[in-house]
Amino acid sequence: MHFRLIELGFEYRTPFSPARCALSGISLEIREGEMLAVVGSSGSGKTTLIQHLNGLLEPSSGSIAFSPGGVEPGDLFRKVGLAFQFPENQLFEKSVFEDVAFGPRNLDLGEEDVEGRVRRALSRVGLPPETWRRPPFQLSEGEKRRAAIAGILAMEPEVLVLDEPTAGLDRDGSERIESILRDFHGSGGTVVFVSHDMDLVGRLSRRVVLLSSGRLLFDGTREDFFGNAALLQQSGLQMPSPMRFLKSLKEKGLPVNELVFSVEDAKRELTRVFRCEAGAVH
Amino acid sequence: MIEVRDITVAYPGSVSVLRGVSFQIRRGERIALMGCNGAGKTTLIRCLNGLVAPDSGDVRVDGLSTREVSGSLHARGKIGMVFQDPDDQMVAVTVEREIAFGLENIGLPRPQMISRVEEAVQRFRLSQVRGVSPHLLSGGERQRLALAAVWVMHPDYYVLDEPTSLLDPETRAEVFEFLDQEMKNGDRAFLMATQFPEEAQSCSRLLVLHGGRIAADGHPGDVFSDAAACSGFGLRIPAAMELDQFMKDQGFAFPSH
Repeated sequence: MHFRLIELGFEYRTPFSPARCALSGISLEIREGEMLAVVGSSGSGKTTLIQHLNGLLEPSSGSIAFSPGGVEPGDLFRKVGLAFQFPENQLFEKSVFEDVAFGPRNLDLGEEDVEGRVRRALSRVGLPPETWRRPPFQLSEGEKRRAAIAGILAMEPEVLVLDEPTAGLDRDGSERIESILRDFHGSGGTVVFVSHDMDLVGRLSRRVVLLSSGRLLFDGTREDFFGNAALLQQSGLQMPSPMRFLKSLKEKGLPVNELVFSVEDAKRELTRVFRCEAGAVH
Repeated sequence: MIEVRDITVAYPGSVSVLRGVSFQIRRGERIALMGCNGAGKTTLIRCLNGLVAPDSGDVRVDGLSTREVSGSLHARGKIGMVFQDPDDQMVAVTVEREIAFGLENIGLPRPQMISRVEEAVQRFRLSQVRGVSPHLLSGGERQRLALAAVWVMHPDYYVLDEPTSLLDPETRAEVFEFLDQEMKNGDRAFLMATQFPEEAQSCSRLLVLHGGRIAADGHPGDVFSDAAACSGFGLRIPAAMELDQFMKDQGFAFPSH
């Protein structure tokens, strides 16, 4: 599935409040199989933007086209799974299994198909069968988040859209979510996620879209994004922390390439540089 | 001072969440609270102002036990609570009414209330949205509103449950600047739960909860320097510390570092 946004604009209007312009003039293509991060300061329009991707919001101006061949509006929610911030707040069924089955049950499938989808989804997020019959509220925070994502995966979407997928999770919980997203992307799916965690954006994304006051300020590779110190500063964002560490060494004279996106990569780069230095001395 | 004395909490039908937790928060302290999900951080935070009553043990705020009604009311007046998801604490139809809510409840005379609300609107940069429903605000504005609604009550202690997990780096820095300002006179204190080790590093003390107990309590640099222990508690350590340690272990000497 391919998205083409042309000059998209959106205004929030309610009878009780003045209209607020959230997005304007956003032109953007999202291709199949991308791993795209949407970043920007609070209030820049990230959440509003991604809610257009599954038709939850319709543009106030401009357009969004879904291809190939256009998608019936009623079909969008099947093809594009959207996880809100803290999606576990929406768990409501009496068991994890039933909660995940809720979506597919609305798809006119046979019971066997539904159960197959639920089992596949729960396995993909790594929830062991002994948790399936438990009330979702008895799960840990990390497990609840995964159960909520399983509910989306059970719809077998082509695109996963997530708003702050790891917010509030501890180290293990975040790593689990990261690997779920990597697997989904690895099997051909498109992932679009919003995050304020630049370490996560560095590790996971290939392309970064930056919004500022509802406008598109940058669209390019993660390397170009994090390599642009002026842009980061202007938009109040930071480099990933391993990159910041290497940059501080570089500023002190170590000939290191600071463009790394994980602690492991940083260790490799340090090893390379110190081996070179040692070689040069001997 | 807030004194937590050997408290235990178990929710019905589940294992104990807190199993004998004791510590003190002295005025002037800037405390980070870390621990994996389910370690009991939120429960502990809710015990501090009497939202959750411990099964045993006691919490005293300025010497008054939260077990007594008067002590519990005292605690709620002295402790400003901010939660992770600001939506959880929004009750009013507009930003201004939200800020005024606590003041209305304590019966502050109207002219004083109006001036305090105005002060809060200015200080937290909410004047553009003063008439807007809290639910239409951006994530950052909502968290600023939550802080404003707490600040307006002039608390002595701030207790914050992962208040920055939905914020951009700039707004996160603003939260810390705000707390710095509040701490300037040394007569207030804060305790902040966080999953970000870099935030814990900027505090003066780090408490780690693990398995319902205080597993570590000390200067953040000292706690993080035991990487194996932190890993066992399910904590990340700051990337800079991990890489620094890696260089030492590998014998990568870089004198000017």
